[in-house]
Amino acid sequence: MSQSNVLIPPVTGSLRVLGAELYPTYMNGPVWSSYLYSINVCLDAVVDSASYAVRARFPQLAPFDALPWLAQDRQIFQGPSETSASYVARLLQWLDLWRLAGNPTSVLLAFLAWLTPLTPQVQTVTSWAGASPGTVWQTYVAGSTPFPPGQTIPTPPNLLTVATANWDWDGASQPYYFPWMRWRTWVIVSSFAGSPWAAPTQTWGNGQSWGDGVSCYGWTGTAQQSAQLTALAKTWKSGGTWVPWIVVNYDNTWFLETGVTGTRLPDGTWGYYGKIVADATYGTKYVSARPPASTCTLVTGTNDGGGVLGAG
Amino acid sequence: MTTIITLAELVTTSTVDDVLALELSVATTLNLPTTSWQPLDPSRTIFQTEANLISQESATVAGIAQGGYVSYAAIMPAGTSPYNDGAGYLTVWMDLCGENFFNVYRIEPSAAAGPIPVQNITGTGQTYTAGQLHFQHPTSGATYTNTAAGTIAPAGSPPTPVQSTIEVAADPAFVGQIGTLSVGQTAIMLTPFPGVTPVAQTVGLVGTGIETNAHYLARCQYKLGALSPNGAAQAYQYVAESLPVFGSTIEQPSDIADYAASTSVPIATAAQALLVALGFTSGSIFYTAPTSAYPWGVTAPVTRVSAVLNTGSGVVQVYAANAAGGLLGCAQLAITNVTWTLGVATVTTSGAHGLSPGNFVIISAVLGATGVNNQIAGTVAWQLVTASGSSFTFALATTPGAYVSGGSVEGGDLGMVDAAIQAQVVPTGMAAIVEAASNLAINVAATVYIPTRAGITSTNAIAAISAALTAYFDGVPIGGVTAEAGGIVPSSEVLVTIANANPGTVSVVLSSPSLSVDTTLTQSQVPTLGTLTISVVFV
Repeated sequence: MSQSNVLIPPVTGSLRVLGAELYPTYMNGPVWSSYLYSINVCLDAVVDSASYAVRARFPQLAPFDALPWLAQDRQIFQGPSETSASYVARLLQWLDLWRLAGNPTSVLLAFLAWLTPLTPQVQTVTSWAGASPGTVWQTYVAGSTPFPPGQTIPTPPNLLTVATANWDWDGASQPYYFPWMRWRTWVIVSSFAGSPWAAPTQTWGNGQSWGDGVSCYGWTGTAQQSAQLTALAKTWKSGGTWVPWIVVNYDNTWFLETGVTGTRLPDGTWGYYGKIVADATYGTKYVSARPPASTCTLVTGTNDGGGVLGAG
Repeated sequence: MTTIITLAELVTTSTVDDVLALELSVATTLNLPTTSWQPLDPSRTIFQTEANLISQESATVAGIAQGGYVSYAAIMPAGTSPYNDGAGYLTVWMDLCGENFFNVYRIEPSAAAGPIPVQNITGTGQTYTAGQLHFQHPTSGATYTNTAAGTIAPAGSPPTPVQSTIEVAADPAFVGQIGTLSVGQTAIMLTPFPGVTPVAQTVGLVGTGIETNAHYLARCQYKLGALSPNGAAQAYQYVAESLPVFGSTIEQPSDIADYAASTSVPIATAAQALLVALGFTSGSIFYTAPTSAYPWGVTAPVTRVSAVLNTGSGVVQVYAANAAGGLLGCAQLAITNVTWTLGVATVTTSGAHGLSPGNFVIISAVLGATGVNNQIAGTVAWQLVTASGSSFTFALATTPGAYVSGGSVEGGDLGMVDAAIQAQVVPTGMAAIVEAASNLAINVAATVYIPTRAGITSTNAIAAISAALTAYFDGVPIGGVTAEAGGIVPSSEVLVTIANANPGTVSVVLSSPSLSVDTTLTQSQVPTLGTLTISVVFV
C-alpha cells in the first residue's frame, strides 16, 4: 500500500455492508434491507465522491482530466509525447524546477521534458571575447535522465569551458557590440538518425508550395513545434539572457564542444544570412554564411527587443 | 474493472431530482413497490429527505474538488453571490486558494484620491481642517472628504477668482471605480463655503475596482518565477504587478467575514470562533503611503508588465503599464541639486521627471545634502508638495545639509516599480530599468446597425462602445497579443468588441482600423483608444 493510500485510505467499507451487519434482525428482512440499500447506495456514492474529491488535487491520485488544472497551477506542462507517469513526477518537482528558472540547467531540463520519452543530447552555449575569451558549453548527453522521479536536485549538465573561445556567431566588429554580447545563449538540440526530427530535404522547385501543410523548407517539424521550442526558451531563460537561435543539429560531426572556431562551428559570419567570399571567376561572390539545412535548422529564438541585430 | 471518477464528474452537483431518481431506480430494481407510494407516504418522504441532503452534500463535494486547484477556483462562477470579481467569478474560493497555495493576496479596490480644484471669488482666504469639507461626484453620487488641513487663497484685487486645490479621498462607501472623477468633470461641493466653488478637474481622480480572478491567478503563476534568484522574466512581472495601491486595503489572511459569507464554504459559529482564536482575524491594512513594511506603492494597479532584454546593451528593459496606459513618473533619474529653505526642500533633476503633487519619491545616494536620502528604517519616501518640469518640493523640517553631488530619484508609479524590482528581482551583475510602456492611440471609426426595437439611444450606444473599447484596449498586453516583436491588436477583435457592446447589434462596418490590416505594436507599446467616430444606424 502506498503512503498516499495510508493517508487517505480508499473507501473499502460501505453503509450498504455496514448497515446489513449492524441493523437489528427485523431490518434484515427482504423489504427493509432493500429499502435501506436504496438509500445507502446514494450515501455511499457521495462519500466515495468526497474521497475522490480530496484525492483529485494530488498529482499521483488525480484523475486524468485534473492534470491540466494542476499544470496551470504549477506552470509545468506535459510534453506532447510524455507519459502521464513521467508528467506526474515532474508535477511533484515543480518547486525544484521553478527555483532554478533562469539558468541554463532549467532551460535544458525544459527541453528534455518536452522531448520525453526521447532523450537526445541538448546543450547551451555562451561565449565571450575580450582579454580572456571563452566559451561555456553545458551539455546533457544523449540518454541523460538528470531529474528522475524522487530526486529533488537535478544532476547538473556537464560543464566545459573552452579557454580560447570556439563559438563565434558573428564576430566582434560593428554593428555587433563588443564583447560578443555575452548575454546571448544558444540552445542546441541534437537530432541524429532522424530523431526527434529528420533533416529537411525539401528544396526550391521540388513541387512543394507555401502553405501546403506538407512540410517547411529547412525544417521537418511543424510550425507549432518550433513555436513551442521558442516558448520553452522564453519561459525558462533569465530575463537578462537572449536566446537568438535554437539550433537543431542533424550531423553528429557538427557543433562539437571540443571543436575549433569555424570548423563545423560558427565562424563569426553567421549573424547574416550571406557573406562575400573570394571567387576565381568573379573576384568575389555572395554565398550563404550558414551551413545547409541538411546540417542544422535554426529555429527562431526568444526575439528579445531593443537590439540592432535583426536576424541575430 | 474499476471506473475512475473524473474531475468533471466530481465537480458536477447532483440535483435533488437526480438523487431521488437513483434511489427510486435502485428500489424498483430491488422489487420495492415504489409506484404505489403515494405523496406523504413515509417511504416517499424519507427518500425525498435523503435526496435533499445528498444533493447538498454533493455540492460540498464539488466545492472540495474545485477548490483543489487555484486555476479552477479562478473560474468558479459567482452567480448571485456578492463575492464577485467584477468579471462574473467567485472571489472567496480564489482568495483561499491564492493565499494558501501561493501566499499571494488579491489587490483590493482603491479609493479615488487627489486634488479637487476650487476657486474663491471673495477677498477672504478660507482655512479648513482635515475631514471638514465634503464633495460629491456629479453623476455617480460618490462622495469625497478632504484629507488634510489647508487654506483656500483669497481672490485677487480687483476681485478675480483664484484657484486652489483641496486634497480629497473617496469616502469608504465609494471605494472603487465609482469614485473616479475624470478630467473635465466638476465635483459638487456639499460643505457650504461662501464664495468657493469647484471647477473642472485638470487631474483625474482614479478609483480602481477589485482585482479580477484572472489577473490574481496570473500573479500567482508569476510568483513561481520569483522563487529563483536568477531573474526569470516572470519575477519582474510578479513584483511589479503585486505592488499595493494607495487608498486601498492590503489584505491579510482572509478575514472571517469572507469565510463565513462564502456560499460554498459554510462555516459554523464555533469554527469561526476557533479561527479567531487561532489569529485569523481581519488584519487588513488601509494603505495610504509607503511604510517600512510596504515601501513601494502605486496610485493604480500595475496590470501589464513585459521584461525583455535589450539585445544591444544587455540591460533588462521592463515595460510597465496600468489600465490607463504607460506608468507616470521617473526611474533612476539623476539629481543635480538640492536646496532647502523654511521647511521646504527643493530638488532639481537632470531632466523632466513627469511627477505630480502628491506623488511619492524615493531619493538615494545624494552626497552632502544627505538629509534628503530615504531609508527603509527611517523616512521611506517623500510626498511631493509641488512638482513641475525638472524640480519638485517636499516638506522637510530641518536642513538636509549642503548639496555636493550625486543622487537619484525613483518617483511616481514608475519609480516605485523600479525601486521594488531593483530590491527584489535584479540579480547581482545584471542591470535592469523600468520604463513606461508607450501609448499608441488607435483611432476607431465604424458604422453600427442597431435595431430600433432595442430601445437604445444613439448617445448611449456610442457610450457603451467607447467603454467597451477602452476596457478592451486596457487589457491588451504590452507589445500586443503575441507579446513578441511585431505583436498586434487584431482589427477583428476591435470589430467584435464593438459588436458586443450593445445588445442586439445587427451589423458593424469597421472602417478604421482596416479589417484587413491589424495594428502592429512595438515591444514597448500598449494601445489606447484614440478618436472614436461611430455612426449609429437604427434598423
